[in-house]
Amino acid sequence: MSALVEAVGLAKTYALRRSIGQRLARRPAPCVRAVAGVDLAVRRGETLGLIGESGCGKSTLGRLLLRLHEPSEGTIRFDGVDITHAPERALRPLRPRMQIIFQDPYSSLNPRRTVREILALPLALHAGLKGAEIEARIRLMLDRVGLARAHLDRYPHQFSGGQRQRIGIARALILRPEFVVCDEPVSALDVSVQAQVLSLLRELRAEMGLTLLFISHDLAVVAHLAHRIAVMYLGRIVEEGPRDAVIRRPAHPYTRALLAAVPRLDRPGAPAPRHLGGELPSPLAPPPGCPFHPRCPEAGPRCARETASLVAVSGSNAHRAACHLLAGGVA
Amino acid sequence: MTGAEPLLAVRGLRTVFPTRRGLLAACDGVDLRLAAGEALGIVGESGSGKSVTFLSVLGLIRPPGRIEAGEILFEGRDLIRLPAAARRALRGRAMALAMQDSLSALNPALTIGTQIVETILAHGLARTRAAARDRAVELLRRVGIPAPERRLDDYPHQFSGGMRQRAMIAIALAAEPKLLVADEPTTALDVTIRAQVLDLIDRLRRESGLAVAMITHDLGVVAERCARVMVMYAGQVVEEGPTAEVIARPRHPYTRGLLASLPSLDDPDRPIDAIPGQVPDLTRVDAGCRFRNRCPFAVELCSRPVDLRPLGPTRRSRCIRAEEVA
Ligand SMILES: Nc1ncnc2c1ncn2[C@@H]1O[C@H](COP(=O)(O)OP(=O)(O)OP(=O)(O)O)[C@@H](O)[C@H]1O
Ligand SMILES: Nc1ncnc2c1ncn2[C@@H]1O[C@H](COP(=O)(O)OP(=O)(O)O)[C@@H](O)[C@H]1O
Ligand code: SF4
Ligand code: SF4
Ligand SMILES: [Mg+2]
Ligand SMILES: [Mg+2]
Repeated sequence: MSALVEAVGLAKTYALRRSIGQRLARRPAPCVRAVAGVDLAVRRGETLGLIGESGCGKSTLGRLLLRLHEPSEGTIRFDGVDITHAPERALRPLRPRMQIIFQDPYSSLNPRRTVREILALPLALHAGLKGAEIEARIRLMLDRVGLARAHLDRYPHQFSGGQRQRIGIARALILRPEFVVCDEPVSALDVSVQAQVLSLLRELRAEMGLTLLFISHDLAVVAHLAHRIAVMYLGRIVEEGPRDAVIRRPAHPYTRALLAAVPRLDRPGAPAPRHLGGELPSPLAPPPGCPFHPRCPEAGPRCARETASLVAVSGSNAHRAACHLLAGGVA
Repeated sequence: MTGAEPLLAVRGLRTVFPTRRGLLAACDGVDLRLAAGEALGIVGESGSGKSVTFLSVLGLIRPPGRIEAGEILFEGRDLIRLPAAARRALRGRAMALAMQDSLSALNPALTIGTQIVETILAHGLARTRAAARDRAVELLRRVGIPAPERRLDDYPHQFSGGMRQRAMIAIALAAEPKLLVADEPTTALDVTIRAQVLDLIDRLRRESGLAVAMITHDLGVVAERCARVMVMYAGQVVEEGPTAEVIARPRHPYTRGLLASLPSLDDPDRPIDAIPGQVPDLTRVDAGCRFRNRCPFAVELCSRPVDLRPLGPTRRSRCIRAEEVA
């Protein structure tokens, strides 16, 4: 399978506002390295699940791939075209091919527009369609996401969370994109409604041959949808591989800790596993060496000195992890 | 449920809010019991009345919202009928709320230390400020904050998310409550940090007999942490029983639907079945079963009132076809 979207050495640094003290001391503004050197390929037709704790850089990475942000370092290619620093004019013809579905369907929908207007806008803007064609496409999409005609003239606040997410999905898919970033699309929904939206995404993915980057902190949800899984920690991908390899034979100590911490329905009364101690370090001052070393139960002296890069797990380049245990040890 | 007097017994609780669409009964006829040292999980759809039920117990319902009917017995005394002053003293001292949305629950303008010290002094648990400060250090240590004497003068924003949560639990525990209500936000925290916080609550329950009401959307959390579970739907308790039994053999179609709609990490390819439809508008419910517009078992009779009825000694279900559900 060829890569539809590819990132090499991708990084994004946000400069924060200086505090008064820092300004008086003429210190430079502090920086957050939200994405810190990511190599990642999303292959055509696959769903890549991206997991990691809040603030680790998942949304930033997703937005960089869509060039909603400009990267600080590295390269992004979409369908073979380098779009790393492409100006908006050059991106315009690509926009309909790449879309995003947000976590909070409420704040991402314009409250003053009806569903019809929300869905018509991308068609008029990017597909150059008119009146009757637009209406036909809207109705088709509306049926597809399970909303009724009667809903067309209503405003977002008149819908439930699950229905709003259907509108968000319809808006993202109405241009028939190839690549869609789903940024926590079901996290704000009730479990029973979440299942409705997940099933819908699965169907549409098959029907439209979509390539997805599916971001979530819920491992069970990601495992249900993804073909491959990438695990992020403090701006880096620390493990990446086929779904079953990552969830059944995790190679990185952080992935193992993450899996152990997921509460399971099917082991009631089982002795709770030992949970990871320590805090998520501040992205303002990431630890030197392996960023996970202050919390890692297996860390050794090398971990505080040297950053580990992604290496093949058990000989296969399909499954990779960034840990010294896999490359010469931690001593 | 034991024969002994539980710490908390709620009967027929009905809490209403006047809204533009009419009177909304956020919880309507809720019965529950919770013993010292016990953890009760409360799960259910968003808006099903989980928070309102326990805010009613804690006396935190603000007007125009009001408790319209029922009793709330805490150590045998009915909180609703107790004189206001006695009620306030009891609630402030014996019950605490840990909203797991810690950023909004802590006062950003006061240091963590001040917030704990004030709570300790307000409940008369220390005579002097210095003594209260010592206790605050001890509490922060107990909830696992490293170097607590140095962190006492930090403001909430200087703490990480996980530390803020633990600080909030420290504040909740400052008055040595007998009941802790832990209300999780819909969108979960980091799983590893959340596991630490849950471990802490578990330890306190086992060591000091704290009763815990754990309100969550995550059935996995209940499965691992709470021996008993109560499932709510549209303002009512629809099922209750030992967690392992309820998960293995649900006796209400909503619980069954909830379980079927969860993806499983151990069997990720298992198809998930959503519950079709939506929860009813609480200002428009009738006397019949509130789940019937979504229920695959629904029959004519379901439009008549349905009671929460016992099924054997430990379980209850609000479904006329409970025996057929599994
Ligand atoms: N102050 C209020 N005024 C009006 N209605 C309210 C108020 N507080 C709660 N409600 C309504 O009462 C019902 C129950 O709310 P509650 O907060 O208990 O739900 P919940 O089960 O805790 O939901 P969640 O899982 O989303 O936290 C909802 O319909 C809610 O909109
Ligand atoms: N616009 C921004 N300005 C400054 N910092 C930001 C901005 N967006 C994100 N960050 C920071 O970058 C890091 C990664 O954030 P994000 O990508 O949103 O994480 P996630 O989606 O994994 O929760 C966090 O430390 C966050 O605070
Ligand atoms: S490199 Fe060292 S600290 Fe990092 S994950 Fe591996 S063992 Fe742990
Ligand atoms: S009472 Fe009827 S509608 Fe309600 S849950 Fe039972 S079978 Fe379904
Ligand atoms: Mg995000
Ligand atoms: Mg609530």
